[in-house]
Amino acid sequence: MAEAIKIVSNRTIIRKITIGTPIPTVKSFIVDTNIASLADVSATANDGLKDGSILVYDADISKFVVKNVLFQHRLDGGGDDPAEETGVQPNILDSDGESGFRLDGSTF
Amino acid sequence: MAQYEDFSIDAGTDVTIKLELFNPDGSTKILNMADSGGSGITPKFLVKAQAKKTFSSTDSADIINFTTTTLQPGNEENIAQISLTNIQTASMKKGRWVYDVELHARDSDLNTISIERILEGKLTVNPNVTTT
Repeated sequence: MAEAIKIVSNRTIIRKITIGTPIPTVKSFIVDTNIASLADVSATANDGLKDGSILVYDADISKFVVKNVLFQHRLDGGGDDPAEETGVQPNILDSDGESGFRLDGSTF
Repeated sequence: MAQYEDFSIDAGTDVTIKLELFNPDGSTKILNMADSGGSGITPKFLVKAQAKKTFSSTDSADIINFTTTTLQPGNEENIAQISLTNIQTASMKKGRWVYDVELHARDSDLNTISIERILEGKLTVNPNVTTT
């Protein structure tokens, strides 16, 4: 059975009408693809950018900075961690005899 | 008779119009009802709104359907919202349109739909001048 339609009136009062603020259409925007523009990256030419440069986090300034020297990194060869078995770390020592790098794993 | 209000909008902008609805006795008009189990909301009224270039327009380019809701913002119980997107207003012919807003409700016998025109008027679309 078809629904009947009844026109009614004077059942509703509109006391307040609010028109939203028009928002302009955004037709285009520019995305900066330069990594040095990121807020937590310091990587300008003055920072010593050259071949082989990498970004390393510097907690002192809370930014990623440009480095050519690996520092406090661990290379994992995929084998068992000898330190867990022997307590001895197979370190590569720097010229001062202090630990500069740590290599983990039985084969490389 | 429906209330009358003229609007002026800028072509290419988003437009939202909020209507605060009351019953003739002054109480707020409840547009939605919570389900008995409290698991959802059942609309008591459906809002429909359309603008046409003229009252007799039949060409689809001369007819714009508002997006309507009774649930936004914040589920306010007596707020009906009608809106047009910037794409819609950009596509509208400049100048004067006519519009109205209707409340549709299913009567208790479930076989009758009551339609009340609550607002009507003219809608003027202002074109933009500066182009890129």
